[in-house]
Amino acid sequence: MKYFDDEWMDDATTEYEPDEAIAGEDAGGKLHGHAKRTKAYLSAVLGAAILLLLGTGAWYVISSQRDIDTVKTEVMTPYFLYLLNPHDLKSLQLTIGNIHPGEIKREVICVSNQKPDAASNREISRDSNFLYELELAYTENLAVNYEVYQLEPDDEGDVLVTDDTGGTITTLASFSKKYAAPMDSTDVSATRRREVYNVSMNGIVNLGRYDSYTEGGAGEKLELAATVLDDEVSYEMDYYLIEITWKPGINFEDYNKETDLFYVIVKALQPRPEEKEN
Amino acid sequence: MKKKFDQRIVLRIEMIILIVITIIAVTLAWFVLNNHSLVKGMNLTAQDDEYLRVALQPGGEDVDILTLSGNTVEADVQLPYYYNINEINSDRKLMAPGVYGQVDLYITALSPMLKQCSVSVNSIPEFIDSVSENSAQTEALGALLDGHIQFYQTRDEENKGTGYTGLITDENPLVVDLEENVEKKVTIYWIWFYEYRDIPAEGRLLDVSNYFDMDRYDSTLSPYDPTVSANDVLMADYITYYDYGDTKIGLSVDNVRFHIHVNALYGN
Repeated sequence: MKYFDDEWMDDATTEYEPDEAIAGEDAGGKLHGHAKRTKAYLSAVLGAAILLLLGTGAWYVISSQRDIDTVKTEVMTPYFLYLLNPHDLKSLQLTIGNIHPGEIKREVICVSNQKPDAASNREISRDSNFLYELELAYTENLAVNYEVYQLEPDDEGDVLVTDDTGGTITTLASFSKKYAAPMDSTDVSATRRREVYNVSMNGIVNLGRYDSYTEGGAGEKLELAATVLDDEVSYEMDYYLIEITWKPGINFEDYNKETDLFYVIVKALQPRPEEKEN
Repeated sequence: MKKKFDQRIVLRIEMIILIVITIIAVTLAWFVLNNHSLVKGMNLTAQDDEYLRVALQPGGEDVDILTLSGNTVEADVQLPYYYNINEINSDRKLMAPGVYGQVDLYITALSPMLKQCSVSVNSIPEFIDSVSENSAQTEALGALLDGHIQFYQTRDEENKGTGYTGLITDENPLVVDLEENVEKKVTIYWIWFYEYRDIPAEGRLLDVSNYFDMDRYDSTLSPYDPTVSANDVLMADYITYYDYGDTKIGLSVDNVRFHIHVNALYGN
């Protein structure tokens, strides 16, 4: 009788006739069935070994790593700040023109977080709130004062925005003063001159004066907010009256043909975050 | 005959090798497991399977154990209160240029085999709806965010706006030395730099496109030079574009969280 191993290997290399494989006590038939079981056992052992290896490897991986998430923190909406015409909310067209002796010049401006002509151009997607600074910068050839008043829309107001082209005067918008007194300003000329010129200022004529306005008549901060509701954004508009008046007791002849440059600047107050001390 | 003999030998050798490998692996696992666990009866708790413990509090539970127990585990980013941000936003803590914080982890090796671990961290932004639908845009914005919010190993407590060293990235994770059963506090400092020139030199080595707003980036700009000095005219351009990037992030990202990965390092 041949040994098992030899006969099994024979199975691997020799093709049997079907009749021989089926025969009961036929040596070929018994060995063929036994070989099948052996192969099954080996496959099971191999599979178990592979699974054990994989499981061990997985355990190593899982037990030697950690993944941690932090809390979510909301990102602050950026600031958007525009100077607009008070009546049509388009970009501000500021023209002072000539100021005659004894004349008072009045200009109304609008400061807003809404982009000019932005009916379909929404930039803000989340609620926003920020402080801003209004600044007037001007040369000082003329002996005039600049004062700023906070306004609010008022159909019955006495501060009018008019259009006198074409020979007739048309009222475009009307406002009233929020407070009787003008806003307080801070002279920031020294700081601005260093920023602008960045060199020695000796020999520079007309360095310009810079007046900064950061608070309203009641001491409130100048602030603009935008709120988003149902995919619609609500913006804010702040209106200001800039009044230019001659200083008292001057000789107008001394200022004949003199010219000044005048700028209105608004800046979002986005300073470097200041941590509160515990 | 010889061929059959060779086949037989090969098969048996393969089986033996596989079994030996399996035995080694299982034995090693048993050794590690048995080195720090106390088995009472036949009950093995999850804690006994720890090889590495990472907690969010001193002496705290491992984060995975807490999670398995049904807890929501989130690390605190320790964002301070800022006057000019929180006060005007109803005391909400917000991410904005110039803010900084830190995340503390408490790591313990539970096996003598564990000598070190690596810590890497990434920002995970959540975009606004209109942006999240555009995968190309989210990918670009994610890269941009990596140039603005960065993670470091050390911070100068007297100069929290700019004093950072040891940039932590996927390529250069923070490597922590560990001692068996000794809890070690690991701090990751994060910051959203206020201006481009606040970024340490090592942080400026990131891909320049990370810094600039995609819509306004000027491709004709001179090749990025991380060594440009603060007074160089190029610096003004970098500062401007970095600010554009800040605005882009602020418009596109609703919120940010950080994902921290701790990996045990063997064989050191």
